[in-house]
Amino acid sequence: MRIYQPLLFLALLAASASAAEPADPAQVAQTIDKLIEQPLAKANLQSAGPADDAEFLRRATLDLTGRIPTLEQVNAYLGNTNPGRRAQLIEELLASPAHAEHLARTWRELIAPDELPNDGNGGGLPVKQVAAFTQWLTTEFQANERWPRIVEKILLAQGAQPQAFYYALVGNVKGEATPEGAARGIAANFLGVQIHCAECHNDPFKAWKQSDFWGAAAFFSGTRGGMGRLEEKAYDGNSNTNVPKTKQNPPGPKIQGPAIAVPKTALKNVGAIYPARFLDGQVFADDKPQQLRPVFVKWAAALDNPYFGPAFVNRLWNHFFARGLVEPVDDFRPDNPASHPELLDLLTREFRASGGDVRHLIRCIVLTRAYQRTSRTAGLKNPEETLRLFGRMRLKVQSAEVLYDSLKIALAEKEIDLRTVDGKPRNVGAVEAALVRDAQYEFVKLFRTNKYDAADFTHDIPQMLALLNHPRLHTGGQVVPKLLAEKLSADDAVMRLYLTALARRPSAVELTEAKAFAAVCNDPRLAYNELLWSLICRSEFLLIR
Amino acid sequence: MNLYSSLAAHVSRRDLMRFAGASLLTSLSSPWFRAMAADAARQQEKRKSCILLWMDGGPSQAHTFDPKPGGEYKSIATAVPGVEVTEYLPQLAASMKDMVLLRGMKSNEGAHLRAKYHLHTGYNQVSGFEHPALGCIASAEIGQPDSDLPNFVTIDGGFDMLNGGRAYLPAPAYLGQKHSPLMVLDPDKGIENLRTVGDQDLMRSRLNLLNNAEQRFLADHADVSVAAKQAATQRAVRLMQSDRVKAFDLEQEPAAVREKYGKHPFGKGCLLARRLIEAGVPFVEVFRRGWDDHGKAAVKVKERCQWMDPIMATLITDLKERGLLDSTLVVWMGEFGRSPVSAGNHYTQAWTTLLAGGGLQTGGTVGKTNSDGKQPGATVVDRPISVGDLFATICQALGIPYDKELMAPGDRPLRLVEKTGKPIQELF
Repeated sequence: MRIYQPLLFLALLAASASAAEPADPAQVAQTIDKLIEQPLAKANLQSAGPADDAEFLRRATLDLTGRIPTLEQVNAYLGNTNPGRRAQLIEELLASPAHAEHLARTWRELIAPDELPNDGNGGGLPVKQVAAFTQWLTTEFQANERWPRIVEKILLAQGAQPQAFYYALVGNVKGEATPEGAARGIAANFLGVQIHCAECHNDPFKAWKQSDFWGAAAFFSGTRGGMGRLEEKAYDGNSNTNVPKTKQNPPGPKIQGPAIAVPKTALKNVGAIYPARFLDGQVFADDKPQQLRPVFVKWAAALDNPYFGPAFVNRLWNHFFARGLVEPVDDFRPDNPASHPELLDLLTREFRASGGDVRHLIRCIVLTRAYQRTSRTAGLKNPEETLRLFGRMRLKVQSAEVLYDSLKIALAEKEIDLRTVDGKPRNVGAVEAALVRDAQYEFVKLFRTNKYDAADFTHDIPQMLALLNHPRLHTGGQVVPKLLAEKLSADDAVMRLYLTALARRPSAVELTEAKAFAAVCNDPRLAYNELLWSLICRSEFLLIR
Repeated sequence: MNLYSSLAAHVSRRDLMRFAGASLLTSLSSPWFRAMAADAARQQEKRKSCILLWMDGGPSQAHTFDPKPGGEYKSIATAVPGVEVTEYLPQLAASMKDMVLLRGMKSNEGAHLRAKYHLHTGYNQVSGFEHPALGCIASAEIGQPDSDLPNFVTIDGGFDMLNGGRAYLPAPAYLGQKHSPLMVLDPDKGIENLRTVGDQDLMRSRLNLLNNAEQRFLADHADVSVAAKQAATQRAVRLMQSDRVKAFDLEQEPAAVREKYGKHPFGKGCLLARRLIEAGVPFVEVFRRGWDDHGKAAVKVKERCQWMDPIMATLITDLKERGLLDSTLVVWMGEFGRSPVSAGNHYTQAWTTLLAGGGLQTGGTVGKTNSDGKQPGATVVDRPISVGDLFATICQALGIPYDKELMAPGDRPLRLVEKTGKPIQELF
């Protein structure tokens, strides 16, 4: 496989600027904006105007901390007249514990399969291990540990370390670490390349061969364990050690360095022996006894690795814009170029110059005009093309965990329990008793979203029926009792509900409609309950605009 | 194009325009909807449907449909000469002409959850990729895209076990969320959250309140995700107000019929399934858990036959009397069988599934297990049937092209049915 070559621009930039130092994020943001606005101008497209304070506040809070802003946060921000308030808000959000947790949850969602590994029989889920993995990631992001260090810690994990669970998540269905699982997972998660087809046959669409796939897998042939304990058996200097003798591969001329045999599960070339090989095509022919994981990780997580930096910054861009500069985000290929190659190079340069500083890169992105544009389409000549060129913000769907936390805030409740049966076991069949798990677990199961496309609204009848009709969403949470106890006027009460649920003040039309609705209801409590319900059922609430 | 949405149906620009002006409440009377409903009714005549009776845990074939000499139960004759079933299934024995016993089942997965996946998707579970369940495939292939009723309904399938045993929930995988089943947890309660809080007037006025805001928002944000959200809301409201949703209400069934199906949850589930098939839902899966007998199968299966025999026979007869049996395939199966004779453990080498109706050539058996030797029933001696074969057969009966290839995420061409599967030609 040929190296994905950054463009000449990078070389020029590196030569002209001080490659060792990260630039001021505000400056980087300005350059990003130029690189976005040039193609728009060339296409004769007007970009959308800036998002107003309310739109920006809600979007930034959701994107950076995984929940809507609280009433206090809304009042503080909307009452802040300081011209630097957006940058100030960004810093506050980055410093909050919720930010680290949100990044950790996002990564865990990307890495973990929909069906968690289990014994395949009774099927007990490794919920504790996944939680420990997520908690570990949260701690890393909280300390703003550099991305290469985080990846190293994950991939070189030992024993019962919580981050060792990565290998179970990318391993086989039972959660056992496998060389092919590790190769496949690491390539997609951290290097932005899809090599999975080449596990069984040379990929007809991309240039990956089985020798590439299994060459990468060879570095993980000594990695064992997964669900509980992980260990690596070092390479012992004999390339034939990990290669089972079969009819197809009698012991023949010794390969220099570690090697692996293609197992029966492949379609083609079963039994073929491939030497350890980095994904840039270089064979690792060192036959000294040694641990092999560190060798691969040293290559993969290097700042100047041609895949590592671009893959990360592309995912980060995708987190905010719901589209990568390369799409799909883990499908970097020579024939799948970035929509904005110079922009990708610029972010890659900042990745390298900052040592993979996650918060620095986030600042570079969220300080841009591009990120702070409105999602409104009114007045746009060609909304779809404008969107594709990042001339307007795309609306995103809140993931299930994020929606759960947002609803807790909107209703001021400690828990959102939409289970329709109580938590007590009920009898099914002659012996077993059935179990409904806790409220958050069942909610997340019901409202799961498309983790590969944050702009894809996938909820259907069951989810909408729950939102429309579940009695607990019509109770006004703790918000309505509070505003009644405070004896707020109708205007103030409506204001309170909008600020709480939608992080903004109602328009004149909305205020009039709300009061007309209240008059029809003839009961303030009922009116406010239903008004709050109508706010959380809105597209504006469920989506991130 | 991202991985998953390459196959999921996006709301088109046409739909964006359509929804821009529509109100949540008035869409029912729009002319386009009436025309479509009429068209759907016409198409109904040609459509096939399926009721899958999922016997979770792996029912013992020796104690049900493949009796062997020296077995723990006696066997009885059925309406088809030469075919016998065990003694506690007399009513099903009488319905044998409408059934076919697939006694040659041979599979390769003996762990519960992986086997449930295998018998729901036709594929063995692999890491890094998910296959769609049969009901989801049916929803995608023979379901009506704009139907007000869901295309796939599961009944009583919702819960994990207290001891940690997981329920496999049918999932649409790369076919897209819209082919997820609608889950009815309790047949008596019907669809979760279908009933609204408050009276009709309150519902109307708050839906209006919501709708006004939604229309303004869409006008300002003509974005695909907004249109999709509003379309999903419309589908939910349409279902709430649909006449056809009465199909989910067992109280609408005459008392005499309800008595025939009885008070057992499985009976109510089967009655609900029949009603849904009648109303045009193409695939209904009725779950019944508790078949995983690791000991005392003789006692437990006899207990279960007390309700299962009359209920299944009632279902088949009921479908027949309503002229629905030819167009409705009934499938009875679990994730594997049980060990020969004593049924003490999971067994994959020789077990039985059952098909009824569906326009198939019924009234017989396919595949045979040994009746001699130390372990009668241990091996398939004639006509082994793989899970792929079973799936190809079911697909063919339902009018689904079993060898159709779709492009799954990651540019992976994938057949609906695992590629070695072939339909059992004798049944057509």
